[in-house]
Amino acid sequence: MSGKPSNYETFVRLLIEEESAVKAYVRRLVPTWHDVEEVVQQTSLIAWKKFDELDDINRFGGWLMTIARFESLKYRRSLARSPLVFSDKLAEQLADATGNIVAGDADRQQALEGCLQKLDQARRELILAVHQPGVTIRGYAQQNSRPEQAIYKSVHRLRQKLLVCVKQTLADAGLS
Amino acid sequence: MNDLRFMDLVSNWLDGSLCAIESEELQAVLESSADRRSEFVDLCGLDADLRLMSEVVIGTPVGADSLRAPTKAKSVRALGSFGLIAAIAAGLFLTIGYEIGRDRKSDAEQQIATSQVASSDSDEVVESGCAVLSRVVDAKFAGDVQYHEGDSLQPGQFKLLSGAVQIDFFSGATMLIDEAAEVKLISSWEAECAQGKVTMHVPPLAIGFRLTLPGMKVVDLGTEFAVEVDGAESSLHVFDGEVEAHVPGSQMQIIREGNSLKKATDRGVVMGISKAADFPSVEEFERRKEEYYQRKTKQWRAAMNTVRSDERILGCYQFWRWEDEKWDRLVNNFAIPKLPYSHGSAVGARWVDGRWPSKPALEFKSPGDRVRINLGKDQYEGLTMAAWIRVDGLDRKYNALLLSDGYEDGEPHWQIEKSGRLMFSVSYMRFPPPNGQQFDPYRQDQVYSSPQVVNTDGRRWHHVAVTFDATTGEAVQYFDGKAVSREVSEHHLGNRKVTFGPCAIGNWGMPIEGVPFPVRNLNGRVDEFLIYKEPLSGDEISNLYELGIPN
Repeated sequence: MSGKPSNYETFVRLLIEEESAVKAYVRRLVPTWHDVEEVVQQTSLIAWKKFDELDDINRFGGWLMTIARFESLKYRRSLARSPLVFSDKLAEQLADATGNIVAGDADRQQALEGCLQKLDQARRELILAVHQPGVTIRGYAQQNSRPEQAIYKSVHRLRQKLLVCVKQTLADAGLS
Repeated sequence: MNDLRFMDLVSNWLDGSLCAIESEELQAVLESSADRRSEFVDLCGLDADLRLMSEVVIGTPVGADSLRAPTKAKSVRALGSFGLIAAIAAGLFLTIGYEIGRDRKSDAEQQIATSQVASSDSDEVVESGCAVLSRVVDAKFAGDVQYHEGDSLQPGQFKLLSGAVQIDFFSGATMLIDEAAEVKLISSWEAECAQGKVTMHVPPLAIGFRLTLPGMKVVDLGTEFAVEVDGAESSLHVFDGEVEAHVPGSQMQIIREGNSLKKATDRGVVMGISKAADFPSVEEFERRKEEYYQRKTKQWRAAMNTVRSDERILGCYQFWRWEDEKWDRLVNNFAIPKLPYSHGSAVGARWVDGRWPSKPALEFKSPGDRVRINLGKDQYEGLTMAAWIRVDGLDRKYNALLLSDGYEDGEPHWQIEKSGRLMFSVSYMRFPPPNGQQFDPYRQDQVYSSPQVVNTDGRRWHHVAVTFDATTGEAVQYFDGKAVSREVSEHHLGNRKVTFGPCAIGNWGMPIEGVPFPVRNLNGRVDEFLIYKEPLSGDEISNLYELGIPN
């Protein structure tokens, strides 16, 4: 950060704008959220080192995504064999896939906020609690003395419900 | 495959519970269908959004002291540009927010964000107290209540059994109580004294402060006065200025400097001379305080001698300030026998009061503040870290306790997450595959998180500790002497070692020139930091806590 403060500020601003998009992208390529954070951190460092090479900052988002793609594929090759790690072929396919939701981050997240508010309190607590850093469904079930399978089921249903709701909200707003 | 089955498989993948057979099933359907890949991508996006929203958690941390008057730990945190879901926050033990650009967000942004919190009544921190306990010396209170310096006091009974306290009312009036006394706080402007001796100082700002005694009501006109209640006998002594004394059945009287008024139930009022020496005074208070803390320091130092000479100790940083040390940056390692080159060096952090006034501490505030230490490259089969800390704010995504510089193979990181969880981790490189294949030497950390235990209310000192056994992969974290988490990492693979190398207390590492680095400085104070080369037992940790309790 020394020597070129204005450059650094621009970089940080751009990175902040793209952070949730890049995390959402990397999520499909590596198995755990911890892996996502590792890859995104590595991606940010590389992007900073190469930032001078980027001639048009309007292309920052796509450029960052390219780095993230490369880093994700590289990272997943270093992972131990686990059922969570998909084949190379599938990983490439997923890296190129586009989702059905095309709305921007802010609109999508706003839609999700609205959908969470429509859930009753217990369900909202559950879905947020199991997505907290370091929380596993097993650990959550034990801590709350509830059957693990029941929690898995509820979480699956809530995911589906939220996804349907987000899509509907975006469609109603003409954003999808 | 039907939608339900597909959803279950993707969900299991997201939750990390997908088995090998399910994995093949899921991969087959994803490889053959672009539509399913799109759905998969949508679900991954949803998962990422939910995780970003859930990263910031608010709650009443474990161990929050319900007896204390201040607001519940509702230090509602503010959120990035996407705003706060106030409706959810209101009824929920969690609140949610997008936290955009954590670690990199500027302080200015955070301050602005914090002030937005007030937009919803239910989220705003409320204070229902009427006074602050500004000084406490060797005080014992009735019942199980333990008050601490800085606590807000609610209206209600306040019973002191011994010791001395100073209470600052929100109106500006100050009350000194010495030895056994019973007072009732009514509001910022009014109190009752039912038993004991109380000295009041009332600055012009607080003129009109009322103090009620059995058989007498005193309204202050800007002054210093004292009252004594001994059974049915009440007396008033004015040392400076004047007060109104209202005695039922007689006319209001103005009592001036140097005079006293005594009222017993069976007799009328008796005028006399005031005797300041009989009442609690600021000077006496100071003297007593000094004496008490000198005694306390002496006892503590004696007790620490055993700790210093423990054969397992590597670092015994007691945060003694050496007044005559010219540079004032030395943080001695008191471990016996002495380890050469293991002394710490303070960078930025400044010397302040620690757990008690004559115990120094270092205060970490700015992004550069830290204590540098280097314990060498020796490898150990485990470790213990134990520290006395006062956390003033959890400003960063990760707030450093001790972080090794490079976070290389076998090096520990110990920090507090923004949510108040203690987080300990050790960085390990993956083992190379046996067949000599090329592989990327990425890390696979062993990460351990406690429940939320740290809160920033009340600027209270707390003892935190972690023990780690590198051979079994088990880490136990402690808060105020009690184990709060015990876990074996899912990434643990056989015998490992730990090592320290160059580390920073209260911050992370030596920034590499030209590379942005996450800011992880602690906002708070540290006045003791112990490092052992073996995991200590639960009893030993609880003993360390008992040794160092501030009051």
